[in-house]
Amino acid sequence: MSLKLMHRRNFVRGLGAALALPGFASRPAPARAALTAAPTPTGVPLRTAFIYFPNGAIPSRWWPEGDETNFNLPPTLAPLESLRSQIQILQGLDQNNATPGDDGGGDHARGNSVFLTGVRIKKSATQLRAGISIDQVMAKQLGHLTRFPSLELGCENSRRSGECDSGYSCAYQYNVSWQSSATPMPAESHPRLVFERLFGTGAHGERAANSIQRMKERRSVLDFVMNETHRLRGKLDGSDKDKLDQYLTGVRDVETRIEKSERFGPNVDPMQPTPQSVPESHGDYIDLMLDLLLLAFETDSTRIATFAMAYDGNNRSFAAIGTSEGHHDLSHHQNDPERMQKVATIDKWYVQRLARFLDRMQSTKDVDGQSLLHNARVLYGSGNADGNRHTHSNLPLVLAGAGGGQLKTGRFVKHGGKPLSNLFLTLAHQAGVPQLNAFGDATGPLTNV
Amino acid sequence: MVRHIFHVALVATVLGHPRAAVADNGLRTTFQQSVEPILVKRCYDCHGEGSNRGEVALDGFGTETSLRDPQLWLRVLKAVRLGMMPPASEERMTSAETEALIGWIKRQAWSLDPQHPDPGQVTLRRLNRVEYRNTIRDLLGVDFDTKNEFPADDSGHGFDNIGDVLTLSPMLLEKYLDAAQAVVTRAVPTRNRQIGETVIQGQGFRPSASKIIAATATKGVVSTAPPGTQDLPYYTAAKVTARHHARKAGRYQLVGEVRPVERFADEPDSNRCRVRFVVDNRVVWEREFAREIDQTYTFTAEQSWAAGPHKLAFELEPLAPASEQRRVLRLRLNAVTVRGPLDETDWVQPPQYARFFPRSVPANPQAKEAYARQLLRKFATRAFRQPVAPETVDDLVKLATFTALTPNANFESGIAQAMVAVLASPRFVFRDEASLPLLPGQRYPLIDEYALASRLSYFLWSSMPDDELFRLAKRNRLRRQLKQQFKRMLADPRADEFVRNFAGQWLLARDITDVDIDAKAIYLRDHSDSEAQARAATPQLTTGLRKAMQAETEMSFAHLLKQNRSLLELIDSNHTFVNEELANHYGIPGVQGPHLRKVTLPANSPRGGVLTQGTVLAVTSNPTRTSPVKRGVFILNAILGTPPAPPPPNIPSLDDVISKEDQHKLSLRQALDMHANNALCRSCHNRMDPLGLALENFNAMGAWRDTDINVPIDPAGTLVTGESFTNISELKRVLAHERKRDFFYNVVEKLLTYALGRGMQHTDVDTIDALVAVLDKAQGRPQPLLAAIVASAPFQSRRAKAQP
Repeated sequence: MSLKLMHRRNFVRGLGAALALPGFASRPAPARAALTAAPTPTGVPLRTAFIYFPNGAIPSRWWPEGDETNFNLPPTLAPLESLRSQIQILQGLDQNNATPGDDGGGDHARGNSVFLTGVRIKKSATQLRAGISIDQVMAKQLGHLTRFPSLELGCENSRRSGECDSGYSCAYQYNVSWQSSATPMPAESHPRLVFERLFGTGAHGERAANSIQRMKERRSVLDFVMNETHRLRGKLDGSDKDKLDQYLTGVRDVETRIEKSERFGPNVDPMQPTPQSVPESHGDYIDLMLDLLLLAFETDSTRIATFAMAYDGNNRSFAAIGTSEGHHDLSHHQNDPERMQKVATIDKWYVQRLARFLDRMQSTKDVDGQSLLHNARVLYGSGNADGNRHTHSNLPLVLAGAGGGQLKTGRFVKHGGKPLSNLFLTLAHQAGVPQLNAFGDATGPLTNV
Repeated sequence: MVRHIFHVALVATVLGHPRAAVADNGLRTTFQQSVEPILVKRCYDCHGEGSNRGEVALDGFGTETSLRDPQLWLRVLKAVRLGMMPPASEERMTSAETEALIGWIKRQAWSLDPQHPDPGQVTLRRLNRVEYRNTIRDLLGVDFDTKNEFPADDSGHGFDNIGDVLTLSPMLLEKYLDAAQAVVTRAVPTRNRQIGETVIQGQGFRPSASKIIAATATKGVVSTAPPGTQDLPYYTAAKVTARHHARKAGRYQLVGEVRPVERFADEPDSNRCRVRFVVDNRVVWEREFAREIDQTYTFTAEQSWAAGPHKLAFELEPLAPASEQRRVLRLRLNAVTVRGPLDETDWVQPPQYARFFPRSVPANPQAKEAYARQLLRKFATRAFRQPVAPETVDDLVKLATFTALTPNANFESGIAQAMVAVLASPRFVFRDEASLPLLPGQRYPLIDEYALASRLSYFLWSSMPDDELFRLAKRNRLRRQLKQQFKRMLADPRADEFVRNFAGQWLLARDITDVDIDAKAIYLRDHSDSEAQARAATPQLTTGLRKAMQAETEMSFAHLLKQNRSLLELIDSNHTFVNEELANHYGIPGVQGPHLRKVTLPANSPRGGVLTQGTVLAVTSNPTRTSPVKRGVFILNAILGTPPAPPPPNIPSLDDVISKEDQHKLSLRQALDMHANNALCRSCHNRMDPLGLALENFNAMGAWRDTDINVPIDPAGTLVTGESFTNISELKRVLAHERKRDFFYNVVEKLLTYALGRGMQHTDVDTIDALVAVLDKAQGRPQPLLAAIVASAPFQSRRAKAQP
């Protein structure tokens, strides 16, 4: 085992020095051969990202007018003008399980954690029960193909004190990705930590060796912690056992990571300094996190990612664009035109972040000569439709990328009231999870995508 | 005796089953006899015989299960206990009726046995990031910044130490493994001899006597340099010096670290400066600096030194100004490390070596293994906070021995790697609790003394038990000395963590650091000045002010805790804690200097108590205005413990009620008054709004004001429970006197939630009642309450494994 690792290390040392970014195109054959064929026509990997924005969007400024191919982009979506041939605007998709039902208030908690799970979450401050989210369904099936099964990114590393939304645990409001019904996948929010997790610590040139060292260190303690876990597990029952199983799942994931690092070699070593701190301006912060996401896709570190630009109910003040009232507070605009205009300005500001990211995806060439965006599916959306009224039908959604040619872009598609989960089925099928026939409240795959 | 117990147990077993059917009849009979008549008389107008207001109906119990419904009866019990129901407009229940109803709920419907309180289900608790950091600090003497390195912990019931909600994702596990490695690498020396090192912090360099101005003295520039460092602005000539006394003659190496930094500015500043490092009047390094970001410069210089003093200096020379000086560029002096003498014969023992390796490593392999075993058992026992199984120690010794045999390793690095494994273990990350065997007459086993030590230390210190707690637990003396230990722990400085984490979350003080505030918008709302005037004079919610506010809330709570004064002073008090900046913000005269101190308030001051502290007032506001609703909800949640129902999904538009032109002229009070016209709004808003509106004299930054968009503020109101007040001072009095029991119940529930790491359930009501009685008898003093909490059944015991 360790001989193999040594051999791999020498091999990789040479590799790391030779590679600069964008480096995916020059990825050497041996590493690529380790990957099985991915389901795009040209055989390159299909990337999937789910990007969340908070509090819905002002419907009248969001929805285009016109028909499927002949439509105007409304003010909020105007930043996507140059990308309109790469996107679909999806109308008429719902998250019915985010509605109050018998559970009463808590639309932000639900908006957030139902968005990618499609299930009714348990209303409790302590007992977590959501469902596995679609990114994690795909990660379970496809995660073995990349160094990281999935990546979870966010921009918040603190929590509000006190109660969260209407009796729901804060875990619901601060997580969009769920590995299982009781295990949320908290997002990494520090740019340095994201970078180091992907590529290793230290300066350019040191990262490969540092990654190997880190894997070696991790492995040295794994046998011990595994034995300990089994000894401890025998003493526990019920919910204690479930907690320990979360630990066990993590240990197994680390084992897999170590195996993969031997199989793939260390990751490419980007020719750029490690980002050190959280940028002062919030726009720069989001852009930096999206750059890291792009880098992760470009280097094929992962193919599946979620990014919450902010969690639902977020009350950020956008002084830089003249709307310093809190976003959430403003979103309950009660049809006051001035307030609605301000919310629309914020909605557009978030779309600008998306547009910048998609632009970069578009101008990054993939190994098959297509753009990275062509070989990707980026779903941008919110778990609330109209923030003023907390509705969850006709959610604001943009699906960008052609999925390697499987998606018919450049359209405004009216789906007329179907579960968003139907789209998730389709996206999973296209990504190579054909056996998935039930997810959330899906009634069947979405057609005309 | 034994036979007698056996006999009782047997009878219970024999009768247990057949009696279930009878019990149903019995329950229904007692319900019909002692409860139904009260409900008919007091409740059914709204909650029975076809009415179910608030979706509560207290009739039509078809099954025994529905007649025992914990959620339903808990709501009833809470509403009746505090006189929330029947509402103020109706006739009150007699105390006999209240007692009969509550008694039936507790004893009959729930079958609670006050002699054997159910300790409830505590889920295996993971250390949260505060507890992890403190535990690592106490265990290894290393500060590991979990706030940056780990993801935020989710919370439930307002606290982030709730076992059920503290999940562990694969990413966090990775982080635990890497953190274990990082802290051990930092803490544990793996060589028994090394080159001697002295670190001279940047701050240790002092301005020389002559013309020099140090950066911190520069007027108008607030130093934001991290502790130990020093910033020199690019624009002023400076020379700062330090002395080092060389222990012996020999070769020395100097390693310096500097870093250009800048404060945020709209436009860049292209000024430059030249920096020299001078040793004994000879320049050994120099460099020119411009604006540079995220780059640390390290330089090394070797010196042949005689024994005795040597002079080290940094000289900064501003270069001809290339552009307007925006005064944002500074050179940060991190530190200079003096290493030497470099000669191996002069090497020294690393400073922390003896802490981890108390004696020298034996040469004999068997003695070596015995030493390893001794070191690792001791470390793992401390880290796991309980005795360690022999097979665990075996595994650790094997790991250490194996590691020591790998290239470049030695005995110490083997031990260190085994210590990494200990910190990565689930027994470190989780708080596993052992129970004592069930004794005759007990229904629930006590936790063992090690578990008790941990419950105490994580409750009061947010950290691991110290040596004394360990010693007592080992000798099985902790329970016997509980009172003394509790007192000792509370007096310990580590109890500040209880203040920071419990009160910091309960009273939202933690959140003041990040709260989004638009100072100008707030100022404009309060003042009729022209915008131009406002721009010149707008007071800002500075970092300093935020820190002072947080400290004010923490110190207010700590003061009551340490002095054992009534917790009611959190609501109404004649003093507060301020420094000059905060006192100016509050309009309290005569306070000078940056340190916070206790200030007795004038008799007519509206301040005093957390409701009028900057923390609460700002955190419950929106960025540009106050939110009477959020403030009302805060008082209901944090003070009275009677949270309102969440807002309905379809809030009617203001347009339906009032013309657009008029909307802009509405003060918040006028806007909220419209709630009174709508039955749906009224049912909740008449609970929140009067409380929040009473605080309208305090703007979103917590400063006093008389008007809101030119409308004079009217803080008067009436609580839903009937009490009236004309201003905030009167409201405080109402809350602290008339609503004292609400507050006591709430404090008890919050503390118990935090202490146990779980939410309150119906099985806890006997414990809660008993604790409220303690608090009541102690006239609100916290120490008797906390002592009673750590002695209470749920703190002392747990359900046995597989006990339902």
